[in-house]
Amino acid sequence: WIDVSRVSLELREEEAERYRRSMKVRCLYFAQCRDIVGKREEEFELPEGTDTNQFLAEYLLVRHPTLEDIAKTSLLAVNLEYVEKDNPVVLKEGSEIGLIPPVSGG
Amino acid sequence: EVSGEPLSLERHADRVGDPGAGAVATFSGVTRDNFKGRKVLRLEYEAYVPMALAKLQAVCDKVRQKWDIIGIALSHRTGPVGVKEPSVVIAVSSAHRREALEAVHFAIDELKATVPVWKKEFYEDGEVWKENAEGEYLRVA
Repeated sequence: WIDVSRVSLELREEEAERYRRSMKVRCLYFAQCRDIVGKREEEFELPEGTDTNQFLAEYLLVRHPTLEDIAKTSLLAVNLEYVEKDNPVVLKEGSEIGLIPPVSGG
Repeated sequence: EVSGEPLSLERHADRVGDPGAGAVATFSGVTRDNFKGRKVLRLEYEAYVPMALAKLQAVCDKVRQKWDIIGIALSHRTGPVGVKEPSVVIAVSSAHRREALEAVHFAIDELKATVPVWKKEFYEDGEVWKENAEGEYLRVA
């Protein structure tokens, strides 16, 4: 026979472990993006080690699919620095992400 | 500086003034009343303020790397900016005029490409978020 109680205890511990290894990041929206999302900022809970490309495809665009078009011509910034698409940055607890649509200062 | 306060070109020119400077060159970007035949009522600017400040500083740093200048001051305004009002001012001082003039030119081009500020153009019959052509170099780089 299988000790079901022990198996489910282990599964619960594993899940708890995964949640302990998650992190909170903040994403800021501007201009068209803010119009689309309806707010200036939002929190995301992500697994530790998530990078900016994963964040964009698996979290941001999943939560806000209507951002897809503008996201194609936008850049991400992490902690006030631009991120290159082919050089993704690994996010950490407390990372501040900006979704930067094409700028038009001046 | 990035703030909603009206900009003064004079104040920026004074900031960079120096007994050793023979030249003070300035630029101010002002709201035009038309775009491609449509009448523009006003512009409204939004900024990612902490990053805009960092990128304005980066423009200054890059200018100093490229030219031997004495002082540089630049500011962008946020919020509504009416026709003929400046949204951005830049002042550069140098011993001789060539450096100041070239630096100002570079600074506005670099600002328009890299600083996270956005403008919304308001017409009589609508409004649209603009995109600078200069920004292409950021995305491709």
